Amino acid sequence: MSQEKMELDLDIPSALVQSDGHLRRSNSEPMINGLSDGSQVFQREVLRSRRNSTTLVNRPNMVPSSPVRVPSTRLQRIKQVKCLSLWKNKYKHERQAAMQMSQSWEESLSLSDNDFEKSSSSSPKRIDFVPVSPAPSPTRGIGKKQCFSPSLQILVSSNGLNPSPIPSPTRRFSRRSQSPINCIRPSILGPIKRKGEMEPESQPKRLFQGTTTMLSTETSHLPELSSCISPDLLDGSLSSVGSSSGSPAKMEGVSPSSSNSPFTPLQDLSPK
Amino acid sequence: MEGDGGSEIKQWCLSQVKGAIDDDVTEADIISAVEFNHSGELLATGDRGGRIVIFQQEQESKTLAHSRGEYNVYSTFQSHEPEFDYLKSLEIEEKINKIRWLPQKNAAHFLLSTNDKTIKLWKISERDKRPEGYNLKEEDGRYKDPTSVTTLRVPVFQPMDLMVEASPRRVYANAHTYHINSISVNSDNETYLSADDLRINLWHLDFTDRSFNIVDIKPTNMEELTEVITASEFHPLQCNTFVYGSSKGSVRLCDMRAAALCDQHSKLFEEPEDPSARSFFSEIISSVSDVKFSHSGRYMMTRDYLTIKIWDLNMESQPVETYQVHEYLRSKLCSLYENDCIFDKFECCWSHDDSEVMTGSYNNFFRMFGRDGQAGVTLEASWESSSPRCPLRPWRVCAGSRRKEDEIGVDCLDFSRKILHTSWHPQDGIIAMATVNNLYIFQEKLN
Repeated sequence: MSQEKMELDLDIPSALVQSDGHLRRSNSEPMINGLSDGSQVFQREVLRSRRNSTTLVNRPNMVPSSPVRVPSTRLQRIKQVKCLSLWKNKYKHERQAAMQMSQSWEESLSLSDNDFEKSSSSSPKRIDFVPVSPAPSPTRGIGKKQCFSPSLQILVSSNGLNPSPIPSPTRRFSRRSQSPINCIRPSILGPIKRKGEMEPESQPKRLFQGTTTMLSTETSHLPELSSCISPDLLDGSLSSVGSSSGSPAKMEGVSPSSSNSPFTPLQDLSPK
Repeated sequence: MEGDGGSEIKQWCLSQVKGAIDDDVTEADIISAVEFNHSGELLATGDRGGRIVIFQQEQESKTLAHSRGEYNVYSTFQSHEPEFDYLKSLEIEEKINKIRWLPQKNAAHFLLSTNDKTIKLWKISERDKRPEGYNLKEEDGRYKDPTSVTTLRVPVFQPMDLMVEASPRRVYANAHTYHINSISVNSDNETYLSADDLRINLWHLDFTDRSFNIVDIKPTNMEELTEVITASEFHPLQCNTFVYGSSKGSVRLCDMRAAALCDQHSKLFEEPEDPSARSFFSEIISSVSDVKFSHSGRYMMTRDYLTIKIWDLNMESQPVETYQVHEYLRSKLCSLYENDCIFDKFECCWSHDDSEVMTGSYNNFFRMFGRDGQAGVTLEASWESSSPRCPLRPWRVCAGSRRKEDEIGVDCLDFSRKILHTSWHPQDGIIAMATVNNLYIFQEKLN
């Protein structure tokens, strides 16, 4: 029972976040986008037949994309159960979704029968999703101007009067999302950064990679690299620091630099 | 000089260096993107702190003969901020991964900038006049006492110091599960693509609430995943054609007219592997870190860890030209794997007339290749050892750890100083590149 519950928790889509408008998808069939990987298979086939394949954020997969250190046995269990009950879940969710959809359809269909006739034969009806989980809108700041004066070489407010410094980015968080290349199964001949083999050598490397604890607030480097050598699921995964992240994450809340633009204060080193 | 006649190897001089001097580099100042706009007048850089700085070229200098204008700071703004994905408990970095300019249509400039998850369209416009003489407000913005107003006047525009405004016009969010590695504006100037590790999406510039997925290489079972998308670009002239490179060293060309979903490639550019050269690291070093079409649209250049390959779009079986960037590293792959340098993603760029190509390397070296069969030249980006209007001296890298004038042993190379991001002026002999936190601008020496 708890396993079942766990799957559902993982299956809650993060896809349906709201941005500055509703995310749209033109599709006449009741379908939940990205609830589980099973539904994704189904969804792909449906999308192929559609001219408009709007994309929404799809759920990441069985392999966790976070560098959180989850005990490997629990992870394996999740994965196995997910594999087996993939189809079951898909249909269960779709049934729920169908019920939701049919309710909303009924509401709209009750307006007039003519509409129903028209919509069933013409282009797919658009369904606006209500986001399931609220997420911070990345559109904050839209419409806010940032003004710079080249002659004064400082930032100014938009009415030209007071300087307004760029708020320096502060890092508050510790874990960075991970590229799926860490999950690639390598070829036989390919190099493998594997937990078992690398264990003795990985110790000195940890200085540069950071710790592998969940609360890696102290580390400043490459938390995702540690994840690729931790769970057995990612056994044999390639580490690709370069491809997914160039920058180590700085953990303390100290702002990296309060200078607004790195180039303006004097530092023109050009040969004169 | 190297080379055997043909066209001369051009000489390059250090023109400008921007950035901090001290070795202690703050994380946020590390440059992560460099891009000239379509006229070359503007040069944009993005850094890990999510900021964008735009330089503008001065009008041609009249005092210094044969010298192109210098680049000075024109605008700076915060493009992206760090975010937190609460559902996955993951941080989304504000590091600018790519900047792409839109062709200019009016007085304002537009550029697209992207971090790992969100693409933004920025409008950069100038303002050099402002209204003065309001009836109800003082000049500093405070409201007047209404009873003190006795006459009416019409505000007039007065000149003021030039102010450059950057405003976000569109935010394209929530379309990528994985990290965005490329954006590319289409030649139709209406659409653009964004690519992450497994998917490529097509956007219309005007619409932020929807995008079309045109490539999806995510397998149904993630354990079968063998390759990811590493770079993608639209053809410069054909609005239906784009390419994407993979971590396995192949490049696929897709035609959007063939199908709505371009999972099936139209062309596959893959050089057959030499079985005798196969090693433990073959696949990693074959990963395509950058792919760029030539200006003519006939050729395509790919950069992998050790080489640059130039492909004729009409021939998929093998590249027409291959240039060794730093072959001396082939014997060092093991230690480069240990320090993760083997995963560095270098960019490459074409000259304005497609006659030369350029890419970065380690030790603040960069490599220039003339396409008429020359061996290529190694130059260094260093403000300490370069003087203005003095052509850069080429370096040679030899085995071992010797170091003498113009020659350095491979064991002495500094792998923390690398040039990943480079851009070539679209019409002129000017190149810009980023070392860790400095921006270097070189000019071709005019004779």
